Amino acid sequence: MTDLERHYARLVRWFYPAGPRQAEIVGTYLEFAAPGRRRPAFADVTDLAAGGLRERVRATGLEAGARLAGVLSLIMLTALATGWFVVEVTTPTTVYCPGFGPFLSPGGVVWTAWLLAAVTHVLSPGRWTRHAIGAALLFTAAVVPVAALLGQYRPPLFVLLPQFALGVVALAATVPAPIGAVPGPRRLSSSSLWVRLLPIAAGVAPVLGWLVPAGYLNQPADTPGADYRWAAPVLLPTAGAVLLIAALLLAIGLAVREDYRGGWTLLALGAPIGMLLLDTIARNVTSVAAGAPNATYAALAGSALVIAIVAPALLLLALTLRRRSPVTRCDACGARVSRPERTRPGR
Amino acid sequence: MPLREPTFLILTALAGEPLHGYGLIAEVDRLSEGRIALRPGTLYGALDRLTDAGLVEADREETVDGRLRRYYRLSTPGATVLAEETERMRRNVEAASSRLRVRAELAGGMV
Repeated sequence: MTDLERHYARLVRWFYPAGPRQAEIVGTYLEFAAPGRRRPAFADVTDLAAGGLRERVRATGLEAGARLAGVLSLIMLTALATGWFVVEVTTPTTVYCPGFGPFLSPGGVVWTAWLLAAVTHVLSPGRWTRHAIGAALLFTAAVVPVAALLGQYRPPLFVLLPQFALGVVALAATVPAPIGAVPGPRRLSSSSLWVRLLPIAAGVAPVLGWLVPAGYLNQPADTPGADYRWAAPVLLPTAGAVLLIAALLLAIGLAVREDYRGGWTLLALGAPIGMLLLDTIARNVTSVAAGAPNATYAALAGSALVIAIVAPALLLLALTLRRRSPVTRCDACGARVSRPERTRPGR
Repeated sequence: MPLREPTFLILTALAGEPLHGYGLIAEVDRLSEGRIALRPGTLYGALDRLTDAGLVEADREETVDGRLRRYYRLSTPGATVLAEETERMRRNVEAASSRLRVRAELAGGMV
């Protein structure tokens, strides 16, 4: 065994799951290597690291579960963005809150960006949606310092943080589903037209179901409108509960068909659901710690930090445990063979 | 969803004859006239996905100079997907060619 072969074998052992594929990859790298090379190139190391990570993620089923979580997140964030957009254009301005163009605050620009992302997802679900969601995430993060610099009112953090968390998970909906003829699961693919239309439908729902019946769209300009602080304590926990129930029902429905990606969907939605409950959690923390009804900034920040750490940690823990569980693979090609239907993409 | 170019080229390379990893990399390089330079990590990721989707199958194994070579072949569903994608691209090429022809004729008439 040459030095180069030893180096490649070590790298492949580090990055790839154990299996017959390892010897094959080492063999191909050795054929690929320029004559006289003694050590793997840096590009080889990054290629192996990325390939190994993809292979491990693929083996767990996380990718397919995350894609479903992305679709659910996109539906929820569009519904919320529509509601907040209406709040921005209908709430009367005051001396202390003079407005930002046609909006109550710079938050109006943020919600517009999210609504544009939902429309982009219908028209072009891949790369362009990824860019649109990325831009909306930037606007959501930037509105805090921008509003501070301009001395403007802005949406509260307990409204912005869930939107940001939902947006990050929604990026998974832009990853294309595996190619090929796919039976049942394709109906749940994020690339299906009716699935792409769901966020838009969810955006229309709060207007027709909540804001029109409540009379917020046709109120006189001098009457108090729906405000973030009025709407959020009821709306956000309800949205969190709806998202949790939807993910649970989806997971159970898929599990009945021996499709267990719904578990990954639930785990991937941990941070957004937690953030939607942020105000409720912080209020309870403040109530217990200080006996006050309204959440303090410290309780909000502390709760957000705990959610931001615990939810991804649970996902990583599940990934680690899943990697350790044995997966039966075909000796010839490396594909899963324990159940023939598992070869269907998304399972 | 249209196939990405590397995936299309891998299926095209395998449409000719079964190939092993390095042979596939070389064939994709040749087909793309050097534009698509697959690295082994990327190639095997694509092969895993194509195998999962039932578009590519393992053909046979050989040991050459003590190194394992596994050959892959295009499956029947893989050939169908490749044919559909080729037809879609052919229609696009025809549409573009036709409009460019009209444009060239109009430009020629104006001179």
